[in-house]
Amino acid sequence: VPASAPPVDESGFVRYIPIGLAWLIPGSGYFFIGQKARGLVILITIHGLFLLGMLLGGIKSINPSDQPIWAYTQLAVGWPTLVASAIQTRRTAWETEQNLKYDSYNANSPEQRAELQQLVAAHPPTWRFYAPKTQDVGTVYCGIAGMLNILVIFDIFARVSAEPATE
Amino acid sequence: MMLLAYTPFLEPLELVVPNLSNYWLVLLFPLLISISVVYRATKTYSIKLLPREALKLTLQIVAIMIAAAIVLNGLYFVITRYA
Repeated sequence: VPASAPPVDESGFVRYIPIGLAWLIPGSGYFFIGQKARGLVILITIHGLFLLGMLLGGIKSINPSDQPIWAYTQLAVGWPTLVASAIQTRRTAWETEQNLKYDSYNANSPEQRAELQQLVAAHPPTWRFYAPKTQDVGTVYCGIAGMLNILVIFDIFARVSAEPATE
Repeated sequence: MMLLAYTPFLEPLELVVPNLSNYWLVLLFPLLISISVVYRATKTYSIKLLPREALKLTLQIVAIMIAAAIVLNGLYFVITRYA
């Protein structure tokens, strides 16, 4: 029996804690059952993939209203998606506010046009920048990170469900 | 000015790396490596074997994708030329 096998006398609930942990913090489920090296590899890879996706596509990589199916897969990453979703919701509200501010200028008025140019120079409207291909790649990275974590969750489920002697 | 206004993880990287989307195919490799590492990490008995097994799986996926691309390209050529 490998040293990493869960203790036999654990009650049903305690035995399945690693599955919940594996969803919340990718890789932590393996730490819980004593497989630290495996847990570290999973922790670094899944978090790294998710962060790379966010870096490539920005916060719009997490966009449940426009990409519901990808949002479900991204949700499987756990805490990174929960945090990113909260930021994305606040960011969307902020962007709407900024857009209203920018659009409130009267383009036919030379004074307001000059004022708007100054505003754009001081605070470039980067939130209006659109990079569809890169943002799609970012969405896919975050989604695949979630799907890989589902694989990890199933693996942990198999490990904690199996009889210690058969592991 | 755009560089100064760029906020990592909030805005897309293309804001500071123009034409990044032209190289989208290269962006497939980090994804392939991650898939191979995680998949092999769940399957391998000893984690010491992981680098070699993950590399092997990555190369297998790349080879299959190249083969699929050649077959599909050939199919496209045949269909557009003779159909």
